[in-house]
Amino acid sequence: MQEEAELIRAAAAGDRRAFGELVALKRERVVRIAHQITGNLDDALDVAQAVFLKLWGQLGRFDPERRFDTWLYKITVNAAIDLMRSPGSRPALPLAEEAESPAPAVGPEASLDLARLQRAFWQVAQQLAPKQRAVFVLKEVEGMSTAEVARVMGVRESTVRNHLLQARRALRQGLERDFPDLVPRS
Amino acid sequence: MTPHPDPSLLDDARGNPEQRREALRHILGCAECRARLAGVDQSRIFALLALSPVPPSSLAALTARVECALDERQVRERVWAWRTWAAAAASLVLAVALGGYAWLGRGAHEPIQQAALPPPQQEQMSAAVELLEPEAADVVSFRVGEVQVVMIFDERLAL
Repeated sequence: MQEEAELIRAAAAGDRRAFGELVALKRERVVRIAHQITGNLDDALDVAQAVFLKLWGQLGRFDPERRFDTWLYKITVNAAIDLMRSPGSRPALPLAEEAESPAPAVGPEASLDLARLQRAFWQVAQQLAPKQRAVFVLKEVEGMSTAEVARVMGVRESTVRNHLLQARRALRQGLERDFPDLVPRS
Repeated sequence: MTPHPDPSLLDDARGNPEQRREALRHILGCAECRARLAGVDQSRIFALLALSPVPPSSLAALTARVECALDERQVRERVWAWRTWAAAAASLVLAVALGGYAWLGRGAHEPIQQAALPPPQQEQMSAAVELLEPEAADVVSFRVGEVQVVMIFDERLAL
């Protein structure tokens, strides 16, 4: 973490090499969050590029007392939601289908196909509002705390809980209706 | 096979990101754990999407695009800086030139003095008077458009 703080400080001072390392450190999660919200890797890459260019321009104004990741993901989520609302966004396509490398090894008993899970998510998440989808992605997929999601989204924690409740309900109904075999029964 | 993780491990701040990923990897490959997770809430199964790999080539392409865009931005900023300096220098030269012109031409706007014409001589006055006698001079008169031109030829007139 100390190393990351050093990179941020150096990049804020205009060090392109340090900024390159920072991009390498954060790019995967930025792309993944953008992809889960927009549903398309090309859109996610456009969002990520815009995010890092904005970051380079505004890094000098970053307050080191604040959490860098929260700031970065806030920029990412806002850019992804803006793109989703624009008329030029592309159709959803699962990451696992776009990946030329195999999904992580999970053992011989693995039976859940990530690409299929992603397709299911995209089908049932269509009915979610962009902000509901963003809250669900940050909280459930990325594993952020409610407080952190609230900071990223710039809303109250109660609003996060409300968005999450609605998103979960819609996704649960979508799964039961369209993908009853995807979730094993205990 | 790692021991079955508690689904609550996926919740807020209950484990660090690497622990969480480890638990997700286990759940992805373990039908029993997926059933337990879905038993809490079916939508929680989508937590496994955190394991979706981003193609390394896409990440490399992203880095190249960002680098390229930053290079272009720096070139634009240099050109902009050069233009700004050039404009400032041109303004300075213009200001100096205008200042110099104003300094050199100071007083140029003072009223122009009428050239002092010598009063007509006595003989010229008398010639002019004599000119009023038509037989003493040749007079040619004609019109050019709206203008009437009168030419007087008299050797006595030495104006």
